[in-house]
Amino acid sequence: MISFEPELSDARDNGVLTPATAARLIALQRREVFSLFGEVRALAWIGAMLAASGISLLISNHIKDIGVLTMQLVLAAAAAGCYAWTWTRRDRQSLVSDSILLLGGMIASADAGWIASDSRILLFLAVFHAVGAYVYKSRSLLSLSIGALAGWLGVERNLDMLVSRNLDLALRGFGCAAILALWREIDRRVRPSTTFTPVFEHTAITFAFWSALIVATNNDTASTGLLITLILAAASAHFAFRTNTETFLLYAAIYSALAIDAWAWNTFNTTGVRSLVVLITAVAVVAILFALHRRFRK
Amino acid sequence: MRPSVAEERAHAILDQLDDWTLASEERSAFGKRLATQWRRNSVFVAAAFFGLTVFAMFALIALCKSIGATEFAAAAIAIAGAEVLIRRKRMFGSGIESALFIGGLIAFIGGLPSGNTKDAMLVFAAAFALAAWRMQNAIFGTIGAIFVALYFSENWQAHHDYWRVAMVPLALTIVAIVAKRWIGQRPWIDAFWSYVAIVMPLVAEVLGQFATYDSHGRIERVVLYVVLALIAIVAGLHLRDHALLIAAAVCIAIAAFEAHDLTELALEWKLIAGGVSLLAISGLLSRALRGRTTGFVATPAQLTRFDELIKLGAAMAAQPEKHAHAETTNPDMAGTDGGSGSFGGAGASGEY
Repeated sequence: MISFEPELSDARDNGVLTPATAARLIALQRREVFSLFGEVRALAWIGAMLAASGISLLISNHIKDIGVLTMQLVLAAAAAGCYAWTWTRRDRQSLVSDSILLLGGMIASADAGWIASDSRILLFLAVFHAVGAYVYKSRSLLSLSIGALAGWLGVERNLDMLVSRNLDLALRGFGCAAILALWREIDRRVRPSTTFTPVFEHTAITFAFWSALIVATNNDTASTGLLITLILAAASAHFAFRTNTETFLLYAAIYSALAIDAWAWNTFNTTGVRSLVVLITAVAVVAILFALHRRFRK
Repeated sequence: MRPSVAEERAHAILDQLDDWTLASEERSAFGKRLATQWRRNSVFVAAAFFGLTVFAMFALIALCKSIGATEFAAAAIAIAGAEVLIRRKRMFGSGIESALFIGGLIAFIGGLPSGNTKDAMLVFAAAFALAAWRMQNAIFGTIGAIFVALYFSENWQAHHDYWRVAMVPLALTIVAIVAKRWIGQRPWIDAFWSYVAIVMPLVAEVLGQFATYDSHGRIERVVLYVVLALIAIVAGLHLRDHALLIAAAVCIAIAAFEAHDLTELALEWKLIAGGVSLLAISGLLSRALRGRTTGFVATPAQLTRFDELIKLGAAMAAQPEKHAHAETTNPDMAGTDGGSGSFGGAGASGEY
């Protein structure tokens, strides 16, 4: 066990920390106050995901035995129960409410999937979860909404998409990123106190970079993909400095390196040249990032 | 040359300073007091630098081989580079020097003549142990411990005996739980025992399953992991240590996996029952902790800085995927055998 009590006592004795602050922090070091916040939240979240997975399996294995209508009604009732339970506790401090709400949203998604298999149901789900996100001020429901929107647009959300070389998929990814950027802007203007902005920003830039990498890994469009990635990287780095959000600088550096290497791989044939380009790129990106990172911290 | 105990402790405090509730003047003054000569990065930035440098290491090795130089040349360049960054530039915990150091050691091992797999495990364990000591890196130390477990597993695998293979990682788990009781000075040593306690039960289960070629659950294993979980919970609550509580959760998950075919209940019902039970337990805990200000509390604090990100990402990924123009063969029975394919929702998109 590690304890930083000596450092805190020293800081108090030298007037760096007030006695009250030091006493509070020392109590934490002595474990006189021990928060189980993370553990309880994690348990609730794992519970919600397990239950949702079980329900999904239940549907696929027993839909014929139970009947579509009965299953739909039961799922709708279960989802409504989750939403109602969370609504009745919206004014109380509860560590599980968000997970129950997420479970309700996922059950609603599963239920909607059995009402209609048409892709428009995903658009309906995107709208439904978005309304839920605003009513409950829930970023979890917002994530479900964005996931459904991406699904409706046909954007896959796995690492395989990066090497798919599917330009149609890349275009859909750019479209999804643009919609999220627009949604973010409207949300910020309509609700100045919104907490959704980071979710939109990180998701939109990720979709945009992944789409650019798809273009860069395609033999026929490698140069175009590289150019798009570098433009996006410049915009991301500018945004990082403007908003003091370092993560966007990292996105810019990492995705640029990947795009340059993909381009080199498609352009050169010999291992030596390819390795040299990759090495120079990686060293240059590390050096630039390190220099910018130091400036960033100032 | 590496950070002294006082410097390392100062770094550990700086890492968690943002999580502590302090007035901005106090935070600033305390931060200045803890400042050291070493250039470091936050975990997220260091991970990015580490990844980029590992990328460069692969390219360096490939380049050395393509021009007729061996992996030893790449190893010498990388390790020398790491030492220069540490000694001249005072970089420690930036992610770059640690990637160069471990990359150099692995390149060196790659250049050695191929021997048997068993010895290779020990060589890798030694390399990671050396890197852990030099870089004060608990993750390298944990990977070294995993290679030690792999070494014994390779030696005893022919017996196809779960217990023989799982013995070493399980023993390491117990050692780690006991070691957490010691009051140490070096934060990385404490973190090392935490990681070992969390990872080793999983290593024991995986190696045991591989050795026996048998995925059937065994009641004696269920009992073992439940007992181990209870030990970790009691120790975690007694010491008030988050890592031991996580280790207990890992043991319970393994016990649940081992128990999966001990009952006739269908998987979906087990998942639902498990999920509802966890939700109920967390609800009861939340209620019990509400309003408490001393002892066990539920004061908002993050288990990791990225838990929110992980949760949101998982929720997003769990949503169904479907091409906008996908065709369905039978809209009336959507999702059934006669209906569409990739639709699931509720956390497990199903390829029915």
